[in-house]
Amino acid sequence: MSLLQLNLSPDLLRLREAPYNVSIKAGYLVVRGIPYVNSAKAVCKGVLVSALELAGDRTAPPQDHTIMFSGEFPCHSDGTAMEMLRHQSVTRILDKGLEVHHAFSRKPLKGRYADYYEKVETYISLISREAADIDPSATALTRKVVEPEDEEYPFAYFDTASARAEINIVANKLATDKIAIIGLGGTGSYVLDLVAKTPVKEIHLFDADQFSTHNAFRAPGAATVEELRELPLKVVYFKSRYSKMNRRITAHEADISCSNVDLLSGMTFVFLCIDRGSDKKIIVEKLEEYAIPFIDVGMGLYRSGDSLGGKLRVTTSLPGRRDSAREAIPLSGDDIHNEYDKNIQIADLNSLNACLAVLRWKKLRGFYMDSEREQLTTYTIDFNLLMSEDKA
Amino acid sequence: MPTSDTHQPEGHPQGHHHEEITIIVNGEQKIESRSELTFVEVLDLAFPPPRPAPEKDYSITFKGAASIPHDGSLNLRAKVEIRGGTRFDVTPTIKS
Repeated sequence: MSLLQLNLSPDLLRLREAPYNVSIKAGYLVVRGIPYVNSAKAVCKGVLVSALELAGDRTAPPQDHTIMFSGEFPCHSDGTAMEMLRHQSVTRILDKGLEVHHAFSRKPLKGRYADYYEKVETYISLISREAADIDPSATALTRKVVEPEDEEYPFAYFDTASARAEINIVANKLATDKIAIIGLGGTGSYVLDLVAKTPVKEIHLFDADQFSTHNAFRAPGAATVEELRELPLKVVYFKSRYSKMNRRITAHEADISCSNVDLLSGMTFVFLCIDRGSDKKIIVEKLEEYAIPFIDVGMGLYRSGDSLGGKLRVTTSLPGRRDSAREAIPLSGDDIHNEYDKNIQIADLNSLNACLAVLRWKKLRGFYMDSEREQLTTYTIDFNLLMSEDKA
Repeated sequence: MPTSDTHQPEGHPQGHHHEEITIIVNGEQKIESRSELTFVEVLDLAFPPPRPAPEKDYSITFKGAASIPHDGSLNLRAKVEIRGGTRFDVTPTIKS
């Protein structure tokens, strides 16, 4: 499946049939082999890079008239800089192997370019005609046609959010992770919602339960009554939901127990989102043995009069720093459930618990700043207290 | 803002207030004459024994304590100095 079907985007198709050396990389439109003149009046080749505005798998009209360039600052044929292009000259790494040095700004009189063909063609002709003055054979046209297909890409369509924000390099810090989400209840399903939007290598879902009506009220998105009637397994339901966007999800129709805990041995990070302490114990022991970092989440809510109170907990366990997590993760048996099991859970709290857990993982990966390096986070509803503990 | 005299005579073994104060535990008012509470003492106020889970499976946070930090988390082996209006939240955090 092509992420960006060129035949659905007439402007990209036209660029390619020109033919320019067009490719799509990390959500950017990249046109290579653009002849330009440098300050020494030599003809060189540069690369034009444009952020892409997409409507799913096809282009939308460009919102931004600027374009990025990899190479020296282009000059007129007499070696003077093309000042009318100048916008910014800052070296930025947009993605692995995609470095740009300048941004140009040529706003059309009508305000916006109609499509990417018009935008790219405008910049190419401005820059390359100076090169052609020196070397009449210099042209951006090429015989080489580059496939935009990228089987390694995790998403079903391009992550233009990271491309627009120019944070692909930051997002790529997550790209090598193989993630397991154990338990697809309220919090686990929200963890999936967030992790599915990152470029991780693999996402493995573990849960043997069915997705019931009450689950629909503490899960992201909206289930249809037809879906609920079928009582799908949670992992099947969520895989089908999120595979629309993320191509790296594997559903395991099982809980983790001593008979299959070895399935976790290849993971690089685990989100533990299950209730029963007895099941948790074996998982915690094995993850420690496998030297896999993990996060355990949990909430406890109570009713006080006609309002609810309680707190959320996120516990981080890292190789070499296991002790405080061992103390904080409740591993008691099932008795505690029988005693208090009104099982109050609310979607916004499941969501917040998942957000705090995913934030913590991203901090560990250097995606976010992390000066506290806390291993325990709690959020108390009543007095709105967010606490970090066990700081390294 | 409600305050209480948290100064205790040196060597006072029980740590009792001269007067009773009101604190809030899981949304409920509790009259308290002690000036400081341990983890287990707070736990007892919220979940009197026998408890189905070990003490360590409960999590206690507080706001507006007399001791510093005024807001925080009460560890298993720690204690906190209270004053009128100190709030505690005591819950096992096991649901997901």
